[in-house]
Amino acid sequence: MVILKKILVVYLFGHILFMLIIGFSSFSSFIDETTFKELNPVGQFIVKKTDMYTLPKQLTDFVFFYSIYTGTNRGYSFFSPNISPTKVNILFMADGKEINLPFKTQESRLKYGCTNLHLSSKIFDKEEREIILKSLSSSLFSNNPDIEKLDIYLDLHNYTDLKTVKNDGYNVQHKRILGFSALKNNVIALEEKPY
Amino acid sequence: MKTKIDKFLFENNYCLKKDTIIKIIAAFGIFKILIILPDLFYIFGEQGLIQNIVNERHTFWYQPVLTWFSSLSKIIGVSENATLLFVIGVYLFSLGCLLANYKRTLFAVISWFIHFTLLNSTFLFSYGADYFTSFMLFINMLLCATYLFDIKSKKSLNSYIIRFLQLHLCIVYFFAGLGKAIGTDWFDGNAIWYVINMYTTNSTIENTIGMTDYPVFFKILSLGTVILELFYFVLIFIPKTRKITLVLVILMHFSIGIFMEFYTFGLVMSLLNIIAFGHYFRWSSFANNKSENLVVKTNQMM
Repeated sequence: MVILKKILVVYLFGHILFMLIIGFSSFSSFIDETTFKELNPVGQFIVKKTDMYTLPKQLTDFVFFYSIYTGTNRGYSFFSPNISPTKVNILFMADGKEINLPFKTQESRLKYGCTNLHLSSKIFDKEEREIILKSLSSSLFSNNPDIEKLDIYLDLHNYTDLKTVKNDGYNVQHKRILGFSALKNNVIALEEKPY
Repeated sequence: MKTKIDKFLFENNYCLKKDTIIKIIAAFGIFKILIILPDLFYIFGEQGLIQNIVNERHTFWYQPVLTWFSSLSKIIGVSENATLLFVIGVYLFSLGCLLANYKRTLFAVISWFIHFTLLNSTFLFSYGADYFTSFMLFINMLLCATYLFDIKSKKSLNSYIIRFLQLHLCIVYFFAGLGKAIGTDWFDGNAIWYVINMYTTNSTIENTIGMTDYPVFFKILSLGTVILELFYFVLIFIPKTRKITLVLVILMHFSIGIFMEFYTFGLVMSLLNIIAFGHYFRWSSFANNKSENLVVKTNQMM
């Protein structure tokens, strides 16, 4: 038991160290120009410092491997550092009608919301965007055999901040942009719409 | 120092009964799969909205995925959906065995592995609740492994696992708080305002618009969240503040569950807090009150 206790203490310290690495490394994603500008001075200092340290690849690979197996790999910076005032929804439409996704429960809809969020954040990454949109379109074509063409819209809602609401009243700006079209030929062709 | 660490980690401070914890985790696991059951094939199956090719871009070779099993079962003519149903069946059976106290060590490993596989198979559909469930099943696996040891070792190991969970939660909240504290929205109250607009129902938004005349309301809520998360690791161990901290954190997760409709996330975080610190409230039917004093002693030592 004495040896086991020693192993467990070492393991606990290792776990804490790994979680600190995961936690601070998640801040390095805030270094991009847009996010960095919106940090407060303390935040800018912390993010700069965390970005300065580069750990050996073997260590980061091992930490990542461990964190994947313990379900701790995604970091914990929920809704941080700020919250974007713009909400993007991806809408699928055929002949002017919205195609409803097949989900029946709130949890499934929430799960799809995660896909939506991921897609919104990667909307300018052509490869990632196309592969996700093709996958979603393919599934919708299978579920709706009568549909030959899907129009994929970006549904944007922009919310004003508290100060503006207080001065000018509550106002939500809504914009719907036709982003892509998917055609059901043997292979789904994605046509990018200029916007 | 060595004795202090030893006492802190291995003294018998375990208060919520191990059997209760395992049952809570198993019941939650069953609940979590039942609430997506009607959409199972759209999330995982052949008709899934996100095909395997998309998911494979986000997983590593060492992460087990459903296609490992479905590609094998296809050889003997079993479809992907049938394999999925079989895997889900084994998962529910394993959780049932954990509830029924039948070969817990074995079924804790199986249930963790299957959940991990399902999680890896749906990268784009997964969010915080799924990752925390994976961590909870990992903790469950450690707890069930203690059945392999003698009674004296069991007590020390149970104590260690709960301490492990407590310290892990402290790190989780610290980074959640620090992430918010380095921005600006969580200081001027806009964060809560945007969250209400984007993640709650229309009726909640309508009821909140009137409150914009009092921005201090949003400031208190958002600053309170930052302070609670950032200093959780201190507040949860101080005898005078620990009960109110636990109540506030559970209330925060309850609100996330109800108002933002993140039911599973709110529930899993509340359960993790109850498992880690629930013994502070000395629930007679769930807790072993005899060992509560030891918790007080070890906490005061800190």
